[in-house]
Amino acid sequence: MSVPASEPSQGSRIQTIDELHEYLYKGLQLEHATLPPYLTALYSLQPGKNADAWHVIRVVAVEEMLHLTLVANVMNAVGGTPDLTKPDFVPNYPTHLPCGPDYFKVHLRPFSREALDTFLKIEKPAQAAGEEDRFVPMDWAAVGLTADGAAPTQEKLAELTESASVLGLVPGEPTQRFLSIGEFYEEIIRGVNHLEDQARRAGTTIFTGDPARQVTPEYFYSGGGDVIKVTGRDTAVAALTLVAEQGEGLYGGIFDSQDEIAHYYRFQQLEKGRYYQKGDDPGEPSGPDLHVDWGAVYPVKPDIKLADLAGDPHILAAAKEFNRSYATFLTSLNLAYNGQPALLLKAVWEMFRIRDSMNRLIRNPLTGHPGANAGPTFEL
Amino acid sequence: MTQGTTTEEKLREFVTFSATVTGFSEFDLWGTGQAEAYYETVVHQEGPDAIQRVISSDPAVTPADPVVKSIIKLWYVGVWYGPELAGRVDVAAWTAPGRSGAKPAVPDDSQPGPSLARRAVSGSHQAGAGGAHGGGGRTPPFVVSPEAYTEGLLWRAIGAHPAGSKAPGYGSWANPPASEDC
Repeated sequence: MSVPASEPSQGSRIQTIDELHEYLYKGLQLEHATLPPYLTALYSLQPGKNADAWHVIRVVAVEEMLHLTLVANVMNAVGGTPDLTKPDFVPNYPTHLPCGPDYFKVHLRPFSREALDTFLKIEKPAQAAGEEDRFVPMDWAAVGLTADGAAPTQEKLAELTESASVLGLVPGEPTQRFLSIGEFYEEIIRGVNHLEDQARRAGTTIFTGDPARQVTPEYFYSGGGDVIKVTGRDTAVAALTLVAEQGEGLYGGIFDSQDEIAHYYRFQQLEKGRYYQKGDDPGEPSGPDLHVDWGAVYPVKPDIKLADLAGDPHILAAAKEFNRSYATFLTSLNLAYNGQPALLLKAVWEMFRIRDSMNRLIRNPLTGHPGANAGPTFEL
Repeated sequence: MTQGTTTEEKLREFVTFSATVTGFSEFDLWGTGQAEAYYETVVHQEGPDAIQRVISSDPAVTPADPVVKSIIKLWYVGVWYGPELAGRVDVAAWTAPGRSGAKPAVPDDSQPGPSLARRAVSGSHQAGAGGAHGGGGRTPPFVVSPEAYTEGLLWRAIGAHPAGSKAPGYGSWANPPASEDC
């Protein structure tokens, strides 16, 4: 996605600060929604057998956490209030993401060629050919979330727009969606520029947030890109640009502006069985061989729900406990994003415990579903 | 019934039995990811009937079948101690010097077997790679896999994490250990 910081003439659908906050909330929801699928695939890898795939997925997952934090920083900078604890913040998987003319499903499922294909789609959003292509009428039949593909009732529509189960709808105009997630972020950047231009003409600014609410590098350690403290237009655009380009590379290149390999190309290494190195062209990695053992994976039941666990009371109890601890974790994270950034350090301990709980679930074979293993359901 | 089903059933029986003797739930045991590796280890070291033999042994009889003790230790520390070694308190001291080349911490005359000092402690004794049963030789203790160390039940039993692995997060040491109701 190309995101020039100052192209004043581009129209923006975001006309008020409340609308910007609404977009940013959807951004938080979107960034988070990638985590359960990535983590499920990551921990489905049998220990000690798929080191290359493990490292690739892990890096991407950690950077998605950075993206979540960056979006929260932008939200705080413009006087918004991040809320990761709303009832529909976490999708009921599979969730749906737009990719050009189609929607695709993002499942909770074990690492596989199909899962990898989904990950590639998540990370390389289609770019609109022109202004008029950026928005697409919403085709509910294609998503399959309403009976016989009819337009949803008002009530159902309200529910769907709140939830994270259909991502990429245009906030406030759910009859339309963005062509891709890349265009969604493009719209946010335009909105920031438009509102800030407007505010400056009136002698004010939209960056009214308390700087103490920013998550700064001393609270965020990951090794996958730096967290950006957002205090004005430049840092806001930098943060949103990083979110977009870590996925697909700077101007479609293999590396992003922080010299990290973009997520799309990280995943492509698994598909091609070879690492990228400096100087490679997209699609033609020439680095060391990379080995993927597609069979060394726990067969997690795709999109597993608590209802699937009736025959396994111990697993059911552990899955419920996992969902509770995940909700607690989101609450801690939310406090960190709401003026107590030091709590992020505590949230890290919770993440490690969550990791251990996920591993235990994923390694447990189900008795009710022969050949399938349990996994976290993320039903909060 | 297919062979696959049979093996799966035997594996489940092994985990059920292991839950009884370790005090951890079947969920926790599967959760280590080591069930298959440990099952194979027992079969290769003690023979295909060993697990069935200990499962059907009378729990009221003391001393229990020594293989029971080997199985318990296996789950707790990820190391296979053959039945002749499982009850010895000095054996643990032998495993570290064998690796580091340092002098054994116990006197030479307590060496459990002549082969112990010569043979590598881990690596060549992966589950399934050359069993002791039938060969008549005594197998020195060996770590079943790199993961077996980190997945040992002992860490959860004491509310700690394996040194060098499963990091609990920066500053977490300021908190009391996570206590579990095992």
